[in-house]
Amino acid sequence: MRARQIASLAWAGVLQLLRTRVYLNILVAGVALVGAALAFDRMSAGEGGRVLLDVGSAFIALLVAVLAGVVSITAVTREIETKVASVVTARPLARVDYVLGRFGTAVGLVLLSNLCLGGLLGGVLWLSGAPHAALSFGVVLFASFEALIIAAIAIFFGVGSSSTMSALFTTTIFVLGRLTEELGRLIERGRFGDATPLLKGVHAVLPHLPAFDLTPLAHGVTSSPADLAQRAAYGALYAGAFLLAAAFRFSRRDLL
Amino acid sequence: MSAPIVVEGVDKSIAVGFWGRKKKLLERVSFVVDAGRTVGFVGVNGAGKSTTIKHIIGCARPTAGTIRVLGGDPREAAVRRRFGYMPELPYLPPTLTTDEVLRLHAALCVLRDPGRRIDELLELVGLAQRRRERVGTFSKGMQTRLTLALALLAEPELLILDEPMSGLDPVGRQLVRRILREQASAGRTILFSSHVLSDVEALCTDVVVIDAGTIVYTGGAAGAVGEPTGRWVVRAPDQGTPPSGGAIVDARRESDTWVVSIAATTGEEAVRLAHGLGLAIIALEPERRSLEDRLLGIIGRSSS
Repeated sequence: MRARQIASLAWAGVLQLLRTRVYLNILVAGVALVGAALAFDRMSAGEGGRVLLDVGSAFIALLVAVLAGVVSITAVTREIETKVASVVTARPLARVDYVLGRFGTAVGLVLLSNLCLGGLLGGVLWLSGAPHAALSFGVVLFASFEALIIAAIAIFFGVGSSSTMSALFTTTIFVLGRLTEELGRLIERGRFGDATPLLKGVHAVLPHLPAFDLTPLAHGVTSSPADLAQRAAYGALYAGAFLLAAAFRFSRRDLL
Repeated sequence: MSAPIVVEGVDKSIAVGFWGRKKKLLERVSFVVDAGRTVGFVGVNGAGKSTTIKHIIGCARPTAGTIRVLGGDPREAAVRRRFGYMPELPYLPPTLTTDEVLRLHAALCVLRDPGRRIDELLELVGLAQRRRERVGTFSKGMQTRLTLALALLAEPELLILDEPMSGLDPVGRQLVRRILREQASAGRTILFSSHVLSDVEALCTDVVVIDAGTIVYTGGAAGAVGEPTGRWVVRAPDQGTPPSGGAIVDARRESDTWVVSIAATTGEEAVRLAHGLGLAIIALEPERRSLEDRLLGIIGRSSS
């Protein structure tokens, strides 16, 4: 029963996104990918495929994560500000289900974008005879965890703050999350004195977004299925924790 | 069985501004809506009508006091399944079609096989020909009618409507009045807010008046509008010259008759005075306060 409510809300959100032409972003990214493939093929003397995998997957991961964040913030804050959320939550729908429905919209968008763009990247690599066509598709799909974490964080801020503040907080966490490996190395070198325990705490709480970048696999780095499963579980738990916090925050909010 | 809506001693304060200064929106709001009644929730703009309604539908928590809707807490999904809510403005997703919006809400209400109900409602609100059109292309009146259909979707036993006539043309207004009368005669309890008092007078059995976040009147609508003013209204044919004389308080022409207001304590006295003024009486009735007069009087007393 609740699953049907959540799925309906998520699907309505995806429909609205498609009708506001969000797919144009995917189209533009696709054209950019094909253009880049042609350029790299000429520039990189035989390594074009590998360079395209690195640049292409990084580009897709960045684009889809930003898209997931922006779409989640605007969907939630706009619905609260325009009072659509009051009408929806006046239905027999728990606030946590509203949050999950909006996250479902982000899941739909991220999967749709990554399936299209991952398929395109794989296709371009395959057509150019590069060795990692199938791997590229997997790399792009695995990066969905990063986008979904960003969507969950965006929803957490969106249910309790204005769209501007939510965008600011989410972007900050996204940027810091992408720099966690560098931050970790700096902390290990012990250059922060008394602030080290505090920074260690911050480092532990930040999302470790590089964990979802599988492009090193194309450069000979190996990773066991257990390691991949652990990374996936970390992504799911991290997003789940933020969604739980978002639901708690939203349940306490007055929709006046 | 308890009343469908019981509001007891509700206060609501919010923090405003950089320093979080407390602002009181509602103060000791208490009223009861009994089963099967149509209650007009009346007040000027900013009086607290929508804020109170948001509390009744469970979208906001009171700072103090309690609200019971259909015997339970309106924040519980089981309670919200049993009432329909229509917001003040038609807050609808503009890129979805009429059919998609209704199906979305049917799913949110966990309605099984809602097709027939959706067909009925679209016929009822006159949007059957528009079911495949996007809501964003609709006029405000059409969106309001769709919002009413959404409130009626799950055949609720209680209807909570915030300014249901807002943005409607006279035809739409008549339609909504007719639908609300049908709902009332089917035994549904209706609470609707309005500052259009003619709608309240036409539809309501009871009236609750709110002013500056405080309830200033609760009671029967007839009681609210029924007080005699100490004047009598005489209708008389137009005989060429406007009626004049000391007893006449007001006179206006309506097509080929004069409607004359005469200061008189009894009907006999009014007849005697009208004859003395040379008026051929077609109709005679005591003048009663309109709800508007009464409301202005109540609000005037509460703020003085």
